[in-house]
Amino acid sequence: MPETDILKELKEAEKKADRELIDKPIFNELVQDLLTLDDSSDTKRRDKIIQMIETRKDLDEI
Amino acid sequence: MKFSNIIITNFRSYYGENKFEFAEDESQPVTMVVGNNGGGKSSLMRAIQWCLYGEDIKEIKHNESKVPTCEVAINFSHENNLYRAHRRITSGQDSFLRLLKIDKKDGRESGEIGEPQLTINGFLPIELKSWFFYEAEGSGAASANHHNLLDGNRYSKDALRKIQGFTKIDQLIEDLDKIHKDKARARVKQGENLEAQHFQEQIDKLEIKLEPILATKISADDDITRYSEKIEDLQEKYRNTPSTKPLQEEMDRLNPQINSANTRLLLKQKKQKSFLADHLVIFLIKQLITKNQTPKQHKEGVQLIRSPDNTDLYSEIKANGECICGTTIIPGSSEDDKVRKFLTDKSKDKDKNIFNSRARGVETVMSTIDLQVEKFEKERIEIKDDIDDIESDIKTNSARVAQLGLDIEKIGNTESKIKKIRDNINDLTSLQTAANATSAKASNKVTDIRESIADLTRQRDMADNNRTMTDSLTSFIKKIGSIKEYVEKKQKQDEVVALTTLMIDLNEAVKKTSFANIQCKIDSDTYAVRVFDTTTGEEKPALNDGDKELIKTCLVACVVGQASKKSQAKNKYLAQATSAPIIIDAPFTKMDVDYISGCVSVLLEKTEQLILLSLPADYKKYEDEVFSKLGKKYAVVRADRGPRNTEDITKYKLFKKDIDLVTFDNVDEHDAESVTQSRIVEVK
Repeated sequence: MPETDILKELKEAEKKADRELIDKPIFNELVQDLLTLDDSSDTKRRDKIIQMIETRKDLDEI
Repeated sequence: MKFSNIIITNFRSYYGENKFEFAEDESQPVTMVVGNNGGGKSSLMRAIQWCLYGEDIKEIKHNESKVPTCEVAINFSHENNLYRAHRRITSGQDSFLRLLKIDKKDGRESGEIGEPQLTINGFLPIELKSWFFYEAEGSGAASANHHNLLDGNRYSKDALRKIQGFTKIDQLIEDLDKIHKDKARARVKQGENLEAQHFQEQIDKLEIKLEPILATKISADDDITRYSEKIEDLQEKYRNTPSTKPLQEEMDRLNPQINSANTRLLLKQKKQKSFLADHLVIFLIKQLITKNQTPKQHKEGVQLIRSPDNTDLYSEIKANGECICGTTIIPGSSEDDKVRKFLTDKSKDKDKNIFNSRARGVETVMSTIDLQVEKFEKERIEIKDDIDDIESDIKTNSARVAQLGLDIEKIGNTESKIKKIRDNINDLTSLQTAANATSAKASNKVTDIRESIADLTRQRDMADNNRTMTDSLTSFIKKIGSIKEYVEKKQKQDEVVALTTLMIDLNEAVKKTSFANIQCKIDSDTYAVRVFDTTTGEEKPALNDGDKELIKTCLVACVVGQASKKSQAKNKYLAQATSAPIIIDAPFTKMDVDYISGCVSVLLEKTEQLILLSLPADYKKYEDEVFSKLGKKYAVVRADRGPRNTEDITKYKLFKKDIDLVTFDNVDEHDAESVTQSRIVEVK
């Protein structure tokens, strides 16, 4: 096996995975916002998530 | 986080106030602390961890009766702000952490942060600290995980997923799932659809049933990790506890060998004696024959007799003045005349024939004697060599046995301690096996219940969808479902990319560092590092300690690189960038010295500050590789330990200066365990 095979294989795998990565900007933006919610209480955090999704009218199209 | 300095007061071996500045210069970012065991190197790392996280409280061994308070303060910068973390503990109380903001202009305290632990966890999450504070050889709590870093474990996987930001996404998926379920349940209730409600009730029942099983599984998994860490810790202890058993085994193996060699020696000596007695005659004859020959005759052997009628022979006899029988021949004498006539007489007379046949007889006897002597001599030498070899073996083995005896005496009786450790390992292994079984059983139940829930959910949704209801709740459930599905799918893909990125980083680091033909892959399931020989393409089943240390150090560097701001542009998955110094206790102890320079470069590519804590002998091996990068240099010049009946002064040339490292006994026996004292000086 030539020396660079694994590295080459990995770089190709990375490119392939990158190419195939699903990407919906509308969701990405929402997920980024949802990840900023930092509350130690599950209930409070989930309420905030619901609130955030309900106020996003642009999600109605999905 | 970039450390400026640390002030340690009465923490473990640090009595009074001890301040250390850390190297901050970009061109010389390495802080080096060199000292003997027990000098406070590891305590420096623990002081940092204790100050930031308050862990390892049991490790604090300050003498409470004399010094009731212990404190550690770290001054550091983060995101262009200056902070001071200050933890203090007073005997019998909990430790107390303060995080103060420091004014950049005058260096004074300009305010106090409300939730110090939460803030510090934001700077460097506690789950990640073991990647930054790396115990390459230590016996601390994290070292067990560090020891089997390449084997893959939950610790590695969880820490890496945390660094990559996936644990936060896990939480989001869990939240979305819960919201989705709650809303679906609410919709069924609201719709008053009896069939759907029936399925929902069954789902609810199963979910209630699932909870304790999940709890059992989580608890069993935690137990497995805990046992695994304890087992690894004990195995480390087991490896490090000197055992007399292998020495005794070696002794037991050598003693019979010595006895057998002695027996063989006696037999050989007997054989030698009888051989010499049996064959002495032939040696004597040989000596007798050779004795009666002139040096020239002796040299030429029987050649002179071979042609008795040769006139040259007569000339020879005349020249030597001696007959072949040893009689002196005086030229011109009657003897001379007789010999000359006899030898030059061409007639085939009776006497001459007799002489010739006698001469040939002598020739035969002499050559036979010579052959026999040669054979016996060879045999005699063989016997002698055998005896020499046996004697040498006996001498070597006896010396080894004597040394083993001394070693066994020196080590003393540690077998009971070793047995206890082994018993503990066995007990823990049994517990771990039981926990594994519990976890597997619970896991199967969880899968079954989840499958049933999924099936019931489908039936519920079918029943629910039979009615036409397009209210806002339905729309919300649909949204949540789509978002959850998207996040789950994207996370799976992101994880593949993140892990591949880490593998590429790791291979590039290994390639930069080592000449060895190795490349690595990280198992996506277990996160174990698999190493391949690039010349054969085969997976290497076992690595030597040097290669292991190399790959572990590169992995630590790459993980820190992924977490840090330095790689943030490349790492798009990270929830929040984390940068902090890398501290390595006992680095580069087994690594090929040619790789150390490359390894230091790789570490410095991934972090802004590197703090290395080394034994003098280890440091000397790689001093040339790091010297130009050293911004701060410290030597433990004095370490007072408990009374161990030793007083050790070692002279070293460290940091290109002559330095004495002194280890004293502490005479205060009352404080044998608790009193230790170090003096660490900066070398400029």
